[in-house]
Amino acid sequence: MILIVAGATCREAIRSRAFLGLLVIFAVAALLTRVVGWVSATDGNLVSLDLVMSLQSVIGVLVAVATGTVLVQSEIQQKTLYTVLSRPLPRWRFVIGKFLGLAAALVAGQVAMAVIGLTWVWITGASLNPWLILAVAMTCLEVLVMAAVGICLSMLAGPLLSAVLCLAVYALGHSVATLPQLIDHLEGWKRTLAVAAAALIPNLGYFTFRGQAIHGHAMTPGDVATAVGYAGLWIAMLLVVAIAVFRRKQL
Amino acid sequence: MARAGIVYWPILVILGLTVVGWNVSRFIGTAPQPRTKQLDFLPPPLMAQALAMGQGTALAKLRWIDSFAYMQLQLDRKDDRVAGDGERGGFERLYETLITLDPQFVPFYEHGVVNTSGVLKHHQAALAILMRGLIARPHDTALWRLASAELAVQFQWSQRNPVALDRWLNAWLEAESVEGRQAVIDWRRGLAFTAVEGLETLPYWIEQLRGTTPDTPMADFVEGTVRELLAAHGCLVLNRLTAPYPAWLPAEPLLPWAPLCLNVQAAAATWPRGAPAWAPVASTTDGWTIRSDPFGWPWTRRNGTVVSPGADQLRFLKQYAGIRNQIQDEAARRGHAPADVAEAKAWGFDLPEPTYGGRWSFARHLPTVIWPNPPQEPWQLR
Repeated sequence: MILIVAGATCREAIRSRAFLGLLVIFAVAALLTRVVGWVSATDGNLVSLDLVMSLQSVIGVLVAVATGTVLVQSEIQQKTLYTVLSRPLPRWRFVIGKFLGLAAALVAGQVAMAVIGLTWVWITGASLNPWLILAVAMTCLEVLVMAAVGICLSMLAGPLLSAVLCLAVYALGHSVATLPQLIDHLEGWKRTLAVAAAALIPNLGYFTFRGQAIHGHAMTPGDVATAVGYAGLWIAMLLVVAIAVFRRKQL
Repeated sequence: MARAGIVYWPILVILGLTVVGWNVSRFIGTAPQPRTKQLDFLPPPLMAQALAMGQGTALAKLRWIDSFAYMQLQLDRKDDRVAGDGERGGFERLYETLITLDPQFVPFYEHGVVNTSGVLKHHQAALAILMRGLIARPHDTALWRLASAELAVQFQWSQRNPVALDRWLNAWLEAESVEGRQAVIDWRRGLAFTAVEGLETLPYWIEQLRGTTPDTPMADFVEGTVRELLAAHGCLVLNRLTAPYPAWLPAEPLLPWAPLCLNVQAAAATWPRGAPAWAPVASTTDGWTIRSDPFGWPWTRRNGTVVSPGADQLRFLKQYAGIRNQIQDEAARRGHAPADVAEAKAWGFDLPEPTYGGRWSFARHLPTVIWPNPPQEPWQLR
């Protein structure tokens, strides 16, 4: 039953205008990165490659937010949720199925973006290295965590508010990666407060391997395991929260 | 509804074309002009990292491209004080932030050195940038080369502190891979030749020669350039060494020719450890002898100055390259090359008489001069 919900969700997400529109925007932006590469005069290939990888992350997260935050709400608005839940389907399975379907769509989107972007920069003269594949995989983890954040927040708030909160989590999630280097500037209760607040935000710095990959630098197996474990932990926790809220939700 | 559809489309097309035309018109008739502007936004490195939202490397590159306009401003103004705390200039703060965001991107260091050391003459700042680069990329040949040049030229270590420079170059040698060590050797050679008058650019041309295939036009050109440099150096040295003894070098005609002995004391004072490969003299167990010029011809003296006949011949061909090309074009137009100088003259081209017994040859479409073979083998360059 979970797979049926996941399959339907995946198809729905891939066909959605937000998904396709952002994919088209990525393709156009990836083409334009070449212009920035030309302007930079030296190492333009590296500049273009870096921008393509960054765009993939940003657009990927936007897709996750745009689709993840409306996933359940649209079911409620279209009243299709009642048809689904009238069957012998526990609510937790519904949420898990929704997440898996969305995750499959997002990974497919990431693969499509990677193929488009990397092929383009390769055709225009940039040299690629195998570590870029790992960087794409790390970006996938980042996007999956953000999808889980989106689903969790959409259980607690409306689509618009949850999308805004989701983007705030994305910004903060990258900022907390730098926090240990800045924390010495704070003392006393301010320091405690900052550490406590940072503890509640997923540290997306674990998934930012793009900068090293474009220079051909390796990622250690320990770093990969840490990133995978960290992503799994956050996704599991966020989905449990989402299920708990959804079970009590009056539909 | 159908009528409304028919009306809307032409309006949409007209409006669309107007918008596109308006946008395109901004690019018509524009002339290139220097784009200058101040550094508007200079967050400290850690703050920039926090604000970059995981896209630090990409944002650093965009900020770097935007800063090109600031460099343009500094080319004229050469005063990079900007608002903010501390005494450091705009470039120092800019590159500190950029390097923190992406320490692996080599152009940040290269441009940082050009701007701080080259434009503003802040050599300490440039060295600091390079040291950060070598910490981030300890095996990067380009950065080692830049840092070595900065130390040797701007800090004058080659004159003031040669021992420290030697240690530095040894450290570079250790940081390089086996293949990369040639770069250090080339650099040392380049530094050594900056003190040899007339041969300052020789290491560059030797490196170019290494990359050419023998008997190709490019190889001929590079070989000719190397021989010209060696000949110019030889003339300078021999002028000094033979000035008190003008009779030691023959006047024209050159043939037959044999090496002549030099003043041993003068030669030994010039090359205390024996004559190097690029010297116009050779030191043997029998004493010092003058070698041929790099083309295999004996040096000669004209109007009291030592000259290289081989270099003269090369210069002669270059001097008349214009008229030779014109004859080539005319020959292509007529479908045949002139048979001799007289026919070339009949075509309207007055060719001068070649020096050193040479004669014009029109066997190819591009006229050339054939000189007698030199009495000695040209210097071995490869």
